[in-house]
Amino acid sequence: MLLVESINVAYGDLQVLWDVSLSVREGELVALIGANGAGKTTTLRAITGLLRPRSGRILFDGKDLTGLSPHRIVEMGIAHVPEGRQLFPLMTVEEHLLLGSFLPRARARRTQNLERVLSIFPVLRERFHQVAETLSGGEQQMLAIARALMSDPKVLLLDEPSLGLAPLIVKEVFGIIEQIHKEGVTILLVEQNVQQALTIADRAFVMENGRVVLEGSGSELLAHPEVKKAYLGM
Amino acid sequence: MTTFLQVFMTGILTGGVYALVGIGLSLIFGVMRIVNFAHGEFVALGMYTSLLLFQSMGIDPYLALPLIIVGGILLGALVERVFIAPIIAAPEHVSILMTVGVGLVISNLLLFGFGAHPQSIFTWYSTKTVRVGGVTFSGPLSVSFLITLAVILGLYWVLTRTEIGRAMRATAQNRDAAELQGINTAVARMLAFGIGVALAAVSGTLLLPVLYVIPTIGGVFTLKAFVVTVLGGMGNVLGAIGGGLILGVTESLGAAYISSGYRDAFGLIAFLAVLLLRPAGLFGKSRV
Ligand SMILES: Nc1ncnc2c1ncn2[C@@H]1O[C@H](COP(=O)(O)OP(=O)(O)O)[C@@H](O)[C@H]1O
Ligand SMILES: [Mg+2]
Repeated sequence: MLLVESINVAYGDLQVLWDVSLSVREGELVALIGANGAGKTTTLRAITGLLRPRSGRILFDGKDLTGLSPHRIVEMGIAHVPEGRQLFPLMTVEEHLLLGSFLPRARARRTQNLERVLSIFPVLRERFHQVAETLSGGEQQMLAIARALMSDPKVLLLDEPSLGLAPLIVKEVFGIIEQIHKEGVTILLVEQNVQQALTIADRAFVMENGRVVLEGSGSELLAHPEVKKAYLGM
Repeated sequence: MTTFLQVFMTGILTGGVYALVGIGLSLIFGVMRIVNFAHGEFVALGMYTSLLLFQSMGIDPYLALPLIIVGGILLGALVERVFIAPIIAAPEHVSILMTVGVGLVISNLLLFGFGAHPQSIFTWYSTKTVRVGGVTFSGPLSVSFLITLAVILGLYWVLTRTEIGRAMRATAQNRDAAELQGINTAVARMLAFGIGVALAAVSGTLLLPVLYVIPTIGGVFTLKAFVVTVLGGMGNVLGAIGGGLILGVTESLGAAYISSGYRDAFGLIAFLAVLLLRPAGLFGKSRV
C-alpha cells in the first residue's frame, strides 16, 4: 500500500539517502531500524512531503505522492508522528485533538474518534484542558500519537515514539502501538529500541549510512547474526 | 485631578485603537515570521477609503466598517499571494525590502489620488461629547474604542473557536506539524496577512472621525504598530493590547503635561526604555 522506490534525498549539497526502497503492505506493522544518523527520520519526512526527493518515487495506494505538499499527502490517509513529538506548545490537549481531525473527512467522524482515542489514552482525558508544554514526556508522546489517530489514518508513521521515555512508559507505548495495529491500522515504526521493535514487527528494514542494507521478517532479523551484533549487543 | 483623568482616559481610548493596529502586525509576525513594514500604509488606506466613501457617497465611516473588513481581508490576501508568498523562504532582508516597497507604492498612490493636503471629515457627531462623572470624552473616540473592543473580542473568538483560527495558531506555533494535520499553511499565512491588513484598515476608519489624514500618515502608524508590538512582545497578540494602551496613555500624558509638539516622541521613549530594560517585551515571548 505504501511503496518507496529508490529515493535519493539531500540537505542542500549533502546527500543523506541513497536509493532507499521499502514497502508496507496493508495491515502490516513494519519496523525501520538503524543507528543514529542512518537516515530513518529523513525517510519518513520524504514520505510525508516535508522533504522532496531528488529522484525516485513514493506511491500510496498506487498514487504518486512525490512532490505533493504534506497537507495533500496527509489528506490521502497517511499520518506522521514526527520525531520529538512536535506538539503545539501553547495549545491544550483538546485543541491538539481537534487539529488532528482538521480535515473534512476526519471532522465528520470527530466525536467517534475522540471517544476511541480517549479510551486508548485515558490520561489525556484527565489532561484535556491542559496546555501541551505542561505535560510529562510520556503524556506528550501519547498526545502526539492520539493527534495522529484523530485523522483516521490508513497508515501511521511513528518516528522513535520511545525516545527519552522511562522504561515503564516505553513498555506502555509499545503496548499501545500493538493495540492500534490490532485494531487494523497499518504502521511504519522507526525505532532505536531494536529488540522491542523487531518483536512486534511483521517485517523490518535495516538502514545504514543512508542505505537499506537488510530486509526480512521481524523474527528473521532478530536471529540475524549482524543485527544481533550491531544492535542487540550479542 | 479631573484634567489628569481626562487626559488619561483619552490616552486609553486612543491606545485601544493603537492596540488594534499592533495586533494586526503581531498576528502577521506570529504566523508568518515577517515584519510588515507596510502596516501603517494599510491604516492610511483604510482612512482614505472611508474618506472617499464619505465624500462621494455620504457613507458614514462606522457604517462602512463591514465593507472595510471584507475589502481589507481580500486586499491583504491578494498582496500576500502576489508579493510575500514568493519570497517567504528568502532571507529576512528580502521581506523587509518587499513590505517597505509595498508601503511606498500605497503612500504614493494615495498622494497621487488625494493630494498632499490634510483632509478630515465633519459629521453630525464630530463635536459630540460623552460625560461620565465629571470627565468629558470625545463622542467619536468613545464609539471607536467600543468598536475596537468588539473587533478584538471577535478576533479572539475566531482564533480560539474556529477551525481556521486554530489552523492559523497551529501554523504560528509549529509550521511542519500544522502541515502534518492537513493544514494548508500557505493559505493560513495568506489569511493571517489578510486579517492583519483588515485590522489596520479598520483602525484607520475608526480614527478618521478624530484625525486629519495625509498620504504619509502611514509611516507614523507603522512606527506606532512597531512600538505596540515590541512593548507587548513580538508575536504576542494579547500583549499588544497592553502595549497599545501604554502607548496611548504615554502619548496623551506627555502631550498634555510636557509638550504637545512631541506627542509621537513620548511613545518612542517608552519604547526605548522597554527595549533596554525588558527586550522580550513587557508581556513575554510569542503567544499567538
Ligand atoms: N536538517 C538537516 N540538515 C543537514 N543534515 C541533516 C539534517 N537532518 C539530518 N541530517 C543528516 O542526515 C543524516 C540522516 O539523519 P536522520 O534522517 O535524522 O537519521 P536518523 O533518523 O536515522 O537518526 C545524518 O547524517 C544527519 O546528520
Ligand atoms: Mg531520527
